[in-house]
Amino acid sequence: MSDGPPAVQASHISKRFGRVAALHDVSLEIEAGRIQGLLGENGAGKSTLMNILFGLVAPDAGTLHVAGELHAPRGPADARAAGIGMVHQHFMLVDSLTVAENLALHRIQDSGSYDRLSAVETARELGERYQLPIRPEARAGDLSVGERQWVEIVKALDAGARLLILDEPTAVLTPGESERLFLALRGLAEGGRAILFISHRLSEIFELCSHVTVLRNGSVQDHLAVKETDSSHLTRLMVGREPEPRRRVPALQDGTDAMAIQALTVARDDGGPGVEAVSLELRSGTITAVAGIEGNGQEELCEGLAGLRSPSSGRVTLAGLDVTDLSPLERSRLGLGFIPGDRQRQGIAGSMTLTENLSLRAHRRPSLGLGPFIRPEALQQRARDLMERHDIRPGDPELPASSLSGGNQQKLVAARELDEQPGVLLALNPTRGLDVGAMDNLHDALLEARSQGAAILLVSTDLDEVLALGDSILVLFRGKLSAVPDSARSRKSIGLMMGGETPEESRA
Amino acid sequence: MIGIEVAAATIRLTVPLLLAALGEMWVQRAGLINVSIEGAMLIGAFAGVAVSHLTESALLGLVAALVASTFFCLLFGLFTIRLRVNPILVGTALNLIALGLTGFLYRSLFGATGRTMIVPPLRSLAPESLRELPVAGPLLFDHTPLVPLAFVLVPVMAYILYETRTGLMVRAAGENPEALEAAGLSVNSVRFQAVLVEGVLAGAAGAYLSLAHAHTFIEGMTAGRGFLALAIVFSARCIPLRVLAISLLFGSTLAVQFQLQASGTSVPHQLIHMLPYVLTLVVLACFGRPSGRETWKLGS
Repeated sequence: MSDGPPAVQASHISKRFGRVAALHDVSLEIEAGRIQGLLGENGAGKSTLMNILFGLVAPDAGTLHVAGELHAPRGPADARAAGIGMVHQHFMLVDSLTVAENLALHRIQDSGSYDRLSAVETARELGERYQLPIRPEARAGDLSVGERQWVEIVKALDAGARLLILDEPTAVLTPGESERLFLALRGLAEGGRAILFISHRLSEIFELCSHVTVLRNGSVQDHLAVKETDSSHLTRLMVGREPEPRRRVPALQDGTDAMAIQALTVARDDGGPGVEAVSLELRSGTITAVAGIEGNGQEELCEGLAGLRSPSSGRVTLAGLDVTDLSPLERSRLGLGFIPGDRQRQGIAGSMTLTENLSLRAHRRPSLGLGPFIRPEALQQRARDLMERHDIRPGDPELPASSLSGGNQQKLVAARELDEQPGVLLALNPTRGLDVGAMDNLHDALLEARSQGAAILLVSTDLDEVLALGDSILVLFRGKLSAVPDSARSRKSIGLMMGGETPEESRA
Repeated sequence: MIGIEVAAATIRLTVPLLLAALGEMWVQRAGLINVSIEGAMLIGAFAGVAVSHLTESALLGLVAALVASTFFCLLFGLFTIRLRVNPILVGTALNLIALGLTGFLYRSLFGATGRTMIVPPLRSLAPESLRELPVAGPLLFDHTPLVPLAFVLVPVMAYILYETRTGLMVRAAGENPEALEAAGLSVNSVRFQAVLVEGVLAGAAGAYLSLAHAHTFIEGMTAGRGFLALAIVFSARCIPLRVLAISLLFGSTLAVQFQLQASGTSVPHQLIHMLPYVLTLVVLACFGRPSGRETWKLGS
């Protein structure tokens, strides 16, 4: 079926943002009936290329052809009309509307009338036609991330998409949900649709795609048939160097109890249970890793421990003291550090300078301030030292923090927290959105803190990270923690637990 | 008899609050906050009086009120939606303009003679036999058509909001404008339409105050009712039936306040005057907190 012109052809696309070349002479063909992988680190240009295909960004040079016809979209509406559908990384659903209403919203232009019952009926038909398990009458806000993705896919297909672009679709799915997604995508490809699957996970490219294009620094490194390559070759293309095997250093023996959590219950914003009766002990010199799908209580757990949310019951002790009712500042004085999950919102103050951001905790030290006054030169000198030690670039301490890349922002947060030499460090998704290099840096920093005796709670939705760093591993599912026995320490069984199955079942 | 008087007064005093609050609810559902609803009501009240004085027709006065207030709200839309200026800033500026402009026009058109200008009132359309019925007359029939209209609008607007494509688009524009854009629909045009709706309703509220209630124009005669409408919408979290309930609560407080003043109690009238505003704070403290799920995206 690939005898005709390719479903989508991008030729010699270039795009600059200011001084940065986001894409340089990129060409790509996607055949109908094929699942094409697009592999690259963050910042390699994957998103830019996708946005150009979808009409959100206009290229500086180069052309697009859809089914042989010139395609110059002026906006998403043009791209949709040409048969290009996109499943966004953050979903475009209106939470308070039902699934049926969300789907109807997209049909509103061509449907003369709308009524709730026929919208539900239409949604059910669409789900059946594309064999995707959607629940028409559920509110979008109540869906799991996986279910939201089904709705997005149905939405794109309903708009007549012949090319479906999926941007890191599995980042938020359980391994089981990913399987289900892959099955659906294979079915769609067999039905003659072209699929562009964007990912930085090699295993998924091998599992799903027949062909892959590797981007690095905005340039195509190679187009390959997946059968004819292997993962170390792809990694080299993607990262530009040989991947270093991560060395596992054994944890300190018998660390002392640094933090004890007893039957902690913390509510969500909407009053529902975030975490329920969670008990846990963090030992010094140990990384305790908590795996789980986003939205199972990670935020509530970390913020409850950091003092940002008050628990409805339970007790937290830090270095032997009951800190349950203490403020974040008092906890931090007792040696608690926190790398929050959303660095933009909670980690940094974007319009403030690097010096100011790095001083947010330390300004109370006598060497850096005098009563109500701070010592700007001392703070700046300290900032310079920290930036050098943690390789935060660019190295100008007076730049606003928002001008840094995500990786450097995260290094800044880590530098600030680690400089306090915390006895206990909480880290929530510390490497989300970071490329491989930045991720390695942060992992090194965590291991360094561990070897200095910190008790680290690493809460992450990235299962690979949990497996690589966790000295002991737990799974958070619907607000409940369960320990992963050493015998079940594998992707597969932890994946099952992340979907709510008990470790006994997963071992069987 | 006092009970019926208070009940009738409650209805009279609820109507302008309800009309304005429904308009503000619509705009907030579409994702904007219009604090210049106070000014829009004032503009409507003035235009209604000015035109009905010149034409001797209360009906033309009402039409003028709707047109003037809608035009005024379009200015708000132009600045916030098209030019993306902060809506609180625009709203505050427009409120000051409305206050100054209506005062200035009133004095220059009708002179500061001290003579009260009485205009032909908006009247009930019900036949006299019904209006003079005991109890039912003052409660149900002795009202201008704006009164039943205001109450009928509650289920009508609820229906539009939850059961029609217009409602779907308005709710999407307020809650996740990106999703609406991704569906190929224009957030700006949905919001402009919402601002138009609010303009008409705020004009009706203003006209009710001047044409049906006071039969004249007084400078600043809205006296914070637009802000009360804002408080109502916040406390009701933009839910139509709650808007009705809280409007009635505020309307009855105003009625009791006037009744207390008229009864010549020894409580200082300044304290009685404060009643509705104290109530506003209490109600806001109880119900006005954002629930996390409903957020208003300012000028996005």
